[in-house]
Amino acid sequence: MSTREEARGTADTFEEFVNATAGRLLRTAVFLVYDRHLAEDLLQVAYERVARRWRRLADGDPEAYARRVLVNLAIDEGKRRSRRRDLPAGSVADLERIAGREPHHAPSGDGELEEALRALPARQRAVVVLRYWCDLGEREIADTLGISQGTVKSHTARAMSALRAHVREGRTHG
Amino acid sequence: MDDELGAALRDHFRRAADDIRPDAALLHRLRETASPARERTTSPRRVLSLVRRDPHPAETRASGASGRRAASDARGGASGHGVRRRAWWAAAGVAAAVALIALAFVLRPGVEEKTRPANQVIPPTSVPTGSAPSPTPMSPSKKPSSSPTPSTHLPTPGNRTGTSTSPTEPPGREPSTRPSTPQPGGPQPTGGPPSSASQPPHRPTPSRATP
Repeated sequence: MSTREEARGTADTFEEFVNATAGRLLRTAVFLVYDRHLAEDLLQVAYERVARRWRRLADGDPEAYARRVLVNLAIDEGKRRSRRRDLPAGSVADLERIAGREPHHAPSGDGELEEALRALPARQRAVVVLRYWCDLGEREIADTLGISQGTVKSHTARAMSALRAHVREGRTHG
Repeated sequence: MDDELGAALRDHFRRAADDIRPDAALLHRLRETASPARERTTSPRRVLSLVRRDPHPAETRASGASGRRAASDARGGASGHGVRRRAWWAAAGVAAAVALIALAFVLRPGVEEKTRPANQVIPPTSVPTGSAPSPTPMSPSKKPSSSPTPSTHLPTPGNRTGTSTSPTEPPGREPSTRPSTPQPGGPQPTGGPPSSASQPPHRPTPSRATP
């Protein structure tokens, strides 16, 4: 992406880096967890970690590092929630969910696809988001997630199969 | 089918992304959250640094790109001085610690007493091992009475206090049982101060026996 290259090249200070990348990373975070408030919290943690290593990251690709932190945080959060099998009360979104309201999340998408993406495991959803939203290749996805390219392929295949089945089921029911 | 699904996913993400925008409050929070993180990482370095920080970094930052570069140059120069200053402080601290430890070892009480066992007694005079011990008369005030000497005490009639036979005496010579003759400087048979226990009674002094 040319905009990312530009942002990386002109981000002399951390504040400029935040201004240039907050929108993209916030969208990525929302697509990873489908929860706006949780996405903001994860994004804040990711920027904090980038800020700690800013002197070393400034010459490299701080956005890639932030995206990697974000994806790992989202996967950990998904694992934690699936392990506890309950809705943790830690954020406004959780309170809304406990109160029975739908939390504020990424709106105006395709309902079937959104529901199918929500139903995916966190790692498969991360692979899909990195591939179809961030336009990353298999190697970059493998580097981001810290897994092999074969694992990326298998996760992608399973995710696409689940999405296809979910959409097909939705069409037949609709 | 995968191409259709991929295109649908891209379209879904693109349409959903239009509604996701960070507001000013979030941006401000992200920037402000990052600042304490950087402060925390640099705080250990400031412990020994005496360099004054810029009290208004925001004004320097807001002055444009040239000001930014100047500020970064200034920070680099200050950090160089700070490194040297911290090195001096660290060296001084290490030297002071070494001096304190050395002083504690040197001035520790009871070091001299512990170097020698308490039950070990050093004889005040060396044991005569030569052929002719010098029978220098010792005054009673100089006589070490309480210190044990490596000598065999043989009671003689002339000397009730006992005379000592030096272990270095020739083995062929028997200890004399005769009454001791008065010797110059020796014990007086009719009173007088007793001679020293370490003085051989029967051995004439070569220097004083000759007239």
